[in-house]
Order: sequence, then C-alpha cells, then structure tokens
Amino acid sequence: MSAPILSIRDLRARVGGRDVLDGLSLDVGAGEVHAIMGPNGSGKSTLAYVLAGRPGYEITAGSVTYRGEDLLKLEPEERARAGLFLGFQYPVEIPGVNNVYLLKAALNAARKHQGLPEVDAFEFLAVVREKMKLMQMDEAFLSRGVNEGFSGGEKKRNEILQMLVLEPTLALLDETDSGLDIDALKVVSRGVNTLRAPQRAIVLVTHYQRLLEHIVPDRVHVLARGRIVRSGDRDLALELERRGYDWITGAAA
Amino acid sequence: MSTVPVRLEELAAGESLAPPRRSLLQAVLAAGLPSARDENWRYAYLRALDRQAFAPAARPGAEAQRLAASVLPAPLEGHARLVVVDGWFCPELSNEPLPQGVSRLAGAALDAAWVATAPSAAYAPATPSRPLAAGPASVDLRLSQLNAALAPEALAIELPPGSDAALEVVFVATQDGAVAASHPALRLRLGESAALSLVERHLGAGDAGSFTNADLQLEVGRGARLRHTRLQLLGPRARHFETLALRAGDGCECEFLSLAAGAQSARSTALLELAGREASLQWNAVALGDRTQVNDAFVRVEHAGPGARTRQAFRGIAAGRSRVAFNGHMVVREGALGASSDQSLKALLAGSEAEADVRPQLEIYVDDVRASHGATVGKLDEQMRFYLLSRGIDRETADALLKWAFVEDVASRIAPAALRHQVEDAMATQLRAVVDVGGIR
Ligand SMILES: Nc1ncnc2c1ncn2[C@@H]1O[C@H](COP(=O)(O)OP(=O)(O)OP(=O)(O)O)[C@@H](O)[C@H]1O
Ligand SMILES: [Mg+2]
Repeated sequence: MSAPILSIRDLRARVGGRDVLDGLSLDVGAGEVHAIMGPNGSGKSTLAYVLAGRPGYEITAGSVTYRGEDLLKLEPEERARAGLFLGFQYPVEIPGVNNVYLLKAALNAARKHQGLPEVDAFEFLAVVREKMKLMQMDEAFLSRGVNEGFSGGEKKRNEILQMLVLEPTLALLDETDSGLDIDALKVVSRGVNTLRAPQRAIVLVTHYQRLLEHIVPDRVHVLARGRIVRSGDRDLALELERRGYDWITGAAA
Repeated sequence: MSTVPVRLEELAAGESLAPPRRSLLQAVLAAGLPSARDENWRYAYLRALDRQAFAPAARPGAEAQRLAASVLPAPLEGHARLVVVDGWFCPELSNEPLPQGVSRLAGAALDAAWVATAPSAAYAPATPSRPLAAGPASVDLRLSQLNAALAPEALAIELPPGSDAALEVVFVATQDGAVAASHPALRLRLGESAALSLVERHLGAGDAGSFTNADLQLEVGRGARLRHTRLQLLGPRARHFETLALRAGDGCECEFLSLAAGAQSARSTALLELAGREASLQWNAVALGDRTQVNDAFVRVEHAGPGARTRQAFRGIAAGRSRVAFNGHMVVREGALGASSDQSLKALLAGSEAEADVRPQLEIYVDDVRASHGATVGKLDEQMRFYLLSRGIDRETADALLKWAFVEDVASRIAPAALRHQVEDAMATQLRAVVDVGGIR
C-alpha cells in the first residue's frame, strides 16, 4: 500500500447520547479511491462529520491520523485548510452569503495556510468558470446565495465545484450521487475523476454500485453498526448489489 | 417618572431661553420625560437623559467645524449635501449655493413653520406657541417637544409640486454631552407629486460622548414620493435620541430604510400617519448592537386613510452584551377601509449576555383589513456555521458572514449603490469582519 493519507484506528464516537462509531478502523493510501457502503443509519455520515470536526460528536476512543498528524486535535477550519474536504450529504443553504464569495474566501483561507498570496481576482474567475463548465453549471449560480434555492442535484454539483476549486488532499463525499439524474451522475463523476491524482485520496460514501461504474474504486468497505465489517475490491460492490447486506451484517452480529 | 435632570430645570427657570420656549420647557418638565414605566419606553436607555447638560451647544466655531469636516464621508453622487453641526446648519461645509427650497429657520419664522407643517392631531408637535399635545401618544412626543423648546434653529426643506431632488443631510455632533447638547431639527414638506431622495446621517466627531435629541417632521403631499435613508453611525460613547413624525397624503409613496449601528445608547421614535387615500409606506430597519450598546426603536403607524398600506421589516443583531429592541405598533383606524399591514421583525442573539426584543402590535378598528406579522428572535445557525468552517473560513469571519446574511435582505435595498457600499463597509467593521472587509458584499 502507498503512504497513508488517512489512518483510522479503533475509532469510537458518540452523538446525541448514542455510541454510533464502535471501533472503526480504516486506511486510505495516497492516490486511492475508497468507497464506503452500508445500511441506513450504520454511521457513514457520522464518520464523515467526525473526520470534518463537526461539533457535538464526542470521540470516546481511538485515533485518526491525517498525513502523519493527529487530525482530531485540529479545529474544523484547520482541517479544511490542511486539505480535507467534506461534500455534505445535505449541503446547507446560506441565503445572503454569496456563492462565489464563499468559494474565494475558502480558497484564500487554504492559500494563506500554505503561505501563498491571495488569489488574483481574474485568475480566480477564470478557474471557477472552467470548473463550472466541467460541472455544466450556469454562471448565474455564482451570484446566488450559497445553495439558496438550489435543487437537490444542483446542490451536489455545487459541492463538487467547491471541491474542484479547492483541490483537497482528502475528499470525503457523502452520498454525492444521491439525488442526481443520469446525466448529472456522469457530470459529477467526471468532476471527481479529474481530481484523482497520486498525491490525493477520495472516500466516497454511496448506496449505489452505479456510481462506482463511473468512479472506479480501489477498495470497497461495508460499514455496519459503527465499524467496517468487510473490505474488498470493486467486485464487493457488485456482490452487495446482488445480495444486499444481510449476509455480511448477519455474520458480523 | 425619571428624575428630571437638574440642568434641564435650571434652563426652565433661567433667562437663557426666550419666554415661549421657556414655558414650553416648563410644560414638558411638568408632564415629565419618558420613563421606563411608559409603555413604549421600556427598552430605551433612559438613564442617558440623566445628568445631561441639555443647554444647546454654541454655534460651531472653527474647531468644531474642522472636527466635523474630518468625519464627512465621500460626497454622494447626485445628492446635494447639507451639514448640521451640533444642531446648527453649517453653510461652510454644505453645498453652495443652497439647493432650491432649502432654508434655515430661526426665531419667529421657526415657530411659524412649526405651526405650518404641524402634522395631524395624532402627532401634533408642540411649538413654543402651542400647548402640549394630550392623549395616549403624548409621552412619545415629549422629546420632540423638548427639541422644540431647545433647538437653536431648524433646517427647512420645502419642495414645490412636481419637483425632483436628492439631498443628503449630515448631522454631526462634536460636543461632550456633559457640557452641551445637540438639538437638530428638520422640517420637510414635499409638494404634490414631488420626488425626493433624502439621505440622513448622524455622525460623531472627536471621542467625546455627545448627546443628541433630534427631531424631524415630514409632510408628504398628494402623490409625492419620498425615499429616505437614515444612517446612525455615531461614535461608541454617544447618546442619541430622535423623533420622526410623518404625515403622508393621498397616493404618496414613502420608503424608509434605516441602519443604526452606532452610539452607546440610541432611541428612535417614529410616529407615522398615513392620512390620505392609498398612501403607502415601507419601513425597513436594521439595528446592530455590540459591546454594551443599547438600541431601541419604537415605530407607530396610524393607518387613517382608505387603502393605506404598510410593509415593515426589521432585522436586529445583538452581540456582546448589547440590547436591541424594536416595537412596531400598527393602528388601523375606522376610516382605513381596505388597509393592509405587513410586519416581519427578526432579531438575532449573537452574544450569550445580549438581549433582543421584537414586538409587533396590531390595533384594528375596521373589519376590512389585511394584516400579517411575524416576529422571531433566534441564534446563529450552527449548521450554517459548521458549513462555513468546513470550507476553511475562520470563526470570526464565519460569524460576521452569517450576521451579514441575517440583515442582507433588508440592507441590500439601500440605494444608490455607492451609499450601499459605504453602509456595507460600516457594517463589516461593526460585524468585525476585519479580516476581509470588502469581501462581505
Ligand atoms: N445528533 C444525533 N442524535 C441522535 N442520534 C443520531 C444523531 N446523529 C446521528 N444519529 C444516529 O446515528 C446513527 C448513524 O447515523 P448516520 O447519519 O451516520 O447514518 P448513515 O450511515 O449516514 O445513514 P444514511 O445511509 O441513511 O445516510 C443513526 O441511527 C442516527 O439516527
Ligand atoms: Mg448518511
């Protein structure tokens, strides 16, 4: 395996008085794409939020190492600046905060962290336009409030647009494929694939094997009751599609 | 009743005021200044009235003028500027020549003008030669009456029928409120079908805590259009009181947009009467409080004429240990058939020790009315905040953005664009988006 970007060891986490992650371990190497599948309520989004640092999640045991550093001691904004990106399962609407402003502020926050000067306004717009074209998004979305009144699919495209502009080292995409029509799925997949690079890693949370036809994963994991209960290659996804989860979760119980 | 400051009593007893003004002041004192027990004054910081030197500030000398000049913002395109310093019109800092219809009133002329523009019985302002108004609203007029007794002069704007003008009136306070007070007065009359864009600013110069008691009386004639933008950006130690009385005639359209972000304590009273048929009023207000600021507004709208329409929106943010309050009282009179009133009042509590109060009130005396209101006090949305943080935005900026977003639907209506940008910069500073002030737009 290549040098790990993310290494999770025996992670336990509580939210709302419930132990949701129950000894989860996972390694994601540089250049790799991993898919996490699993039944509803098994803890996939919880894992994504814990990694992104959302308040309200209590880590009761275990460790998370990101590029050799203790991820859990960083604030959410520091994690983002260090190259971690969470594509939300339910992107948040923020009326009154301009979409393009957020993009630019986010990019500049990361650049500042890297000791780079603020992005040139012209260059920035050129880059954003290019990425929007790739995502087949109308430029009118730039001047709207963040996700304000966006359709479900438009919100997901907007998440990928942000990801493409920020070029994260580790992208966690939580059900970015749900709510997308067939064409949009291709568009979004193309967006994700352009990000694949030897120095990056991508973790996709998905319920559908269909996405994995477009973004071919190196590893597929099944998350059930708060831990990874099985891992395999892309064939595991095909098998899950055929057989469901019972044969695995039953065995794990 | 609050304890009446000694110095006000000294003024009432002394020889410095002309006899009619002195007797008006005596009547005001006998009736009593507003107190926290008065219905519409509960949230105001009335201790600001204590220990004030109410004596009108002297006509500004070279030093006061220099101070005032140093805080004047960039000229606003298309608007002729009028500057009033410590209650005195200052031609040296104003547009020359004076725009058509603008004059300064003092002495007998002032008194006469007060009578001439006196709004209806509901809000009849007192004048040195008229007795105090009686009735339920009278205590709400008390500070207006105090201004009538003490204002050294008034700026009068009288626009002839059919005319079109754009004016910016800048009120600057330079004096320490412990020494002297600013009592600015404005009288405006818009003739039939006239149109006016009026920008009103209140600014402080120097770091002394000024004390202001401003009074504006507006009469908007049949079919006239008024767009009035009000910006209160006084310094952090200022004490500010203001009263605005409006009487709107048949078919006129009045649009107000105010931003109050300055002063240690500010109280704004607006008494608005839609007297004519089909008069329409938009009242948009934003108030920002931080540290220990107190910002309180009371707006009473009398729908008197048939078809009178009001849309009122308030967005207030209380951060730090500040208190922000808005009380919007809508009255629909018997004659106001088919009137409509719509209120959207929202406050954001952005400090654990901050206080916010929004209070819509409806008082209806006729069946045929369309009235709606919404009032909420909320906190910064944690999901929105986390979303911004997850994009690398720092906390201070994230909070500033969310606060900005909270007032944006109202603040974005400020026109012209140059003024809106000035306001956005002022707000960005207030919201502490020091990281990236320009970015908020
Ligand atoms: N704030 C909370 N309070 C209480 N329970 C919570 C909270 N957040 C999550 N949970 C519970 O934790 C479990 C895991 O939730 P999570 O959102 O991680 O599931 P998921 O695997 O992403 O499911 P899905 O496939 O439906 O998106 C669920 O049973 C959920 O109800
Ligand atoms: Mg989920």
